[in-house]
Amino acid sequence: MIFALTLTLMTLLGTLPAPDLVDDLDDAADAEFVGRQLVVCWGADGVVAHVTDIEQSGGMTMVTGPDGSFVIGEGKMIEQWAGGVRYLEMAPSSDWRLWDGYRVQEGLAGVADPAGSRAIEIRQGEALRARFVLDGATATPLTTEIYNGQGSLYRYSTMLEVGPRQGDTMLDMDDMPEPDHRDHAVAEEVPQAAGHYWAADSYSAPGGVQVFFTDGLFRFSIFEVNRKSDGGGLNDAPAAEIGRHGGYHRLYTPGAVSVFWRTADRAYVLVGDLPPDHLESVLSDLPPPGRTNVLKRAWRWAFG
Amino acid sequence: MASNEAVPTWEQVANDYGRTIYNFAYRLTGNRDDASDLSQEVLLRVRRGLANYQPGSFEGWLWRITRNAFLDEVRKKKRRPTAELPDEDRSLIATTPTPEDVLSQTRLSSDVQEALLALPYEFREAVVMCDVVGLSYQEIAEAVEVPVGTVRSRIHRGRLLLREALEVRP
Amino acid sequence: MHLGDLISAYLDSQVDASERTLVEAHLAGCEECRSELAAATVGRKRVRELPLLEPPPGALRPPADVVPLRSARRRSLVAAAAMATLVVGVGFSVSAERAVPLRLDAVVDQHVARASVDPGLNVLQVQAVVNR
Repeated sequence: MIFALTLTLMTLLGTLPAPDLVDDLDDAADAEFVGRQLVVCWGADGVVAHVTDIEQSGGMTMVTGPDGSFVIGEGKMIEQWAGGVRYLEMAPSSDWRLWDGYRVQEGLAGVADPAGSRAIEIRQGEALRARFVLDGATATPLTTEIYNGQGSLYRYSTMLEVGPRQGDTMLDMDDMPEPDHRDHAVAEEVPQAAGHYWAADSYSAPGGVQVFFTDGLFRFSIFEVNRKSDGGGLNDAPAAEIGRHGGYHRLYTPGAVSVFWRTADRAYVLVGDLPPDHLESVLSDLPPPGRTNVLKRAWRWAFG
Repeated sequence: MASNEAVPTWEQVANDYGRTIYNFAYRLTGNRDDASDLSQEVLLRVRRGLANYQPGSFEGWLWRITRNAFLDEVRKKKRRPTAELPDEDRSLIATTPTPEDVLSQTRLSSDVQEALLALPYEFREAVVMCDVVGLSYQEIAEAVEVPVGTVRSRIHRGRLLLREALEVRP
Repeated sequence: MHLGDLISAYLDSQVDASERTLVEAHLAGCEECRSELAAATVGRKRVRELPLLEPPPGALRPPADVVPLRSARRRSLVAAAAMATLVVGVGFSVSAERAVPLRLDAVVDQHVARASVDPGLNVLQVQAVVNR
């Protein structure tokens, strides 16, 4: 009977159209809504979680925190606080694609999801890595689930309250100063691929060079900076051994993981939303933590 | 359905709530046949009760009927000498599975169903009313006839127990 | 003092404004309650993601004609959030030299800005900048 059930399942899944992920993600980004979002991350050092007011309109997403608000979308990052505005705009130099190790499937919405909701599942081999539930009518992202390599939840977000927007324009772009742009730049020791991720573009950044990696689902940036850097304070984050190496400092926030380490010649900061098993394979392809070589330093000092 | 509205007809109730009543019954019992029996009984009582229903909190009234019907059915079955409630839904295997049945099994909802059935009844009922039916704490309090604080406590402890039971696959 | 069952009430939006403030303030500083929040979140999630089942034919035998079944799931809608007051100050330009000290907030901003170019859920990306 198990065989018959499996056969029925395969037939059923075969007849469900594979969702076009790009269309669904674009629809989700265009949804107009306001609400409160809970984000929980099961980090190696414990659970981190927060709830934020969140609003989305005109393709831009705004989160309001105690000190100000952040708007992102279409390459823009706008931070507003009592002291002013910071407006950054990034231009990509490569097209998005989804890693061919992922399979996208239509899943089942849950009993608590509004009628017509859709669940989109992304699998790596047999393992479920991500599940997004979108409202059927508006494509508002209702819940998101990210799984680690062992099938446990790594990050979960849900709208505790959500509804349509009312009222004024969310953000008046006419009041904005000119944005800062970033020139393209080249890192000295960051490879073009790490784990199954590829380097999409790289830019100059305050203190060094940013290399942006993606696999289409998750993304992270490596910032290559001066060895003397304290990683913006990440040097004080909990020490961690990742893969075969110690010497990393790792910090979990509900939305991202940050890692800082020094090699013989420089320092690195990694920021991204990738799950722990991917992080480990990525770091194993990057220069590992290491002490500066005393002889090398002396040589450089003597000979420039 | 908000209070102070006109009394709904039986057809409206069956239309708007029939599926939810069935799912409520299924999640409480884990058994399709029992859920069907229970749903029919509830709708029968609703039809009888609508004649005397005073507009007020409709949800509270409806789910009070549903819950009482469930408890009466359970008592009836306990008195039957032979057939016992199966502890898993073997009816899913015996009949042709619906697409939802098949997909739900592969998503390990059978694990959750098992864990639900292992909860003390008051916790299971509170969790199902909140997360399957979608009632507010106040509505659950009216249906179950306990204070809101008790509802809150049962829901929270029910969830923690579920989480513990599902430890291996969170 | 720990939050206990207030946690579930909070998750279900069954708290008033003062309770909500209390919960959020407490969670920020209490690891144990955050763990309990995470556990309650999973318990809540697993039930809410159970599939909605179709009653088998005859399960809801109507007294008269057959009527089609519709889902009765309700969704509470929230009023629009107050819009943050826009204060325009002086923007600052950032030097790209390596000698400039690294600021973690600037680093996360730049990552998130680039990430927002590609198709993805901005509702998740934007979370990286909060609490950074």
